[in-house]
Amino acid sequence: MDKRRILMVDDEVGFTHLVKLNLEKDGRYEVRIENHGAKAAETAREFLPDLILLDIIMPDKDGGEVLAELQQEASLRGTRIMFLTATVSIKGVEEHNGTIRGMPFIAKPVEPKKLIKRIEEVLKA
Amino acid sequence: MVNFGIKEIQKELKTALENGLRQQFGDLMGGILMDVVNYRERVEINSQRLRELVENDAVAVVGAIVANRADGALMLMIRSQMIGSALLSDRDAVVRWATDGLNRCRRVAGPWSDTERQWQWVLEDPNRYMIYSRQLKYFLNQF
Repeated sequence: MDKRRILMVDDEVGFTHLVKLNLEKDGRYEVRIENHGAKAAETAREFLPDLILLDIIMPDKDGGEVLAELQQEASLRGTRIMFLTATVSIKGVEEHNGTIRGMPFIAKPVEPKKLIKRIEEVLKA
Repeated sequence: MVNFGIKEIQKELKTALENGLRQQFGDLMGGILMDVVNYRERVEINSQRLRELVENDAVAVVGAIVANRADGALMLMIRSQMIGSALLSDRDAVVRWATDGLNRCRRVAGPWSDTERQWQWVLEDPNRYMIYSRQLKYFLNQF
């Protein structure tokens, strides 16, 4: 079975590498990291991910701007997007059933098992 | 001249407080502290109520960013989150919001584009900002 392709867009270098290690250890995912929001669309066009994990607050381009760009890309129409953020607490996300403004969310810090469970839910949705 | 309306008196006192803060600490620090005075009257530092307000407001900020809004209202929400985080002694959150405010004010039109120095002041010493904000709020809540 082909591995699901996940692009992680987040400016926290250490955090992205840790998540990549954990997801790839699971065996079902191929993970690409992009630490610059401004390059996210370009990387996504080239990688064609099944799912993009997108940070909200980034110095060069925030998650909302990146989302708007990604939504313009015809080649990414089938790509799922999930926000991953420390801005909202785990409790805050749970109180909104993991969705804010119609977009799936998960709060940092996140345990690998919970992240994988949420990734699978979003991919199947 | 004597004002008898409560709102007028409150306005007079706020103006006096603002002038006093600016006189004592200068326009930059005085202006930043004045925002603390205006932040959610009566809410107590470290309280569960404050924690809930900050958490709810965070969802609103995230919703605005996801909607790709970049305006004065979003900047005001970010400033509020920075103040709320300071009153909760959440240094990491203060730094996160101040950093975002600094990055974002450069891209927003209107008066917020002139606030770069304010965010920088907070980032220069987040502990100083938290101590002054918390002590000011503590003092105001005594009355």
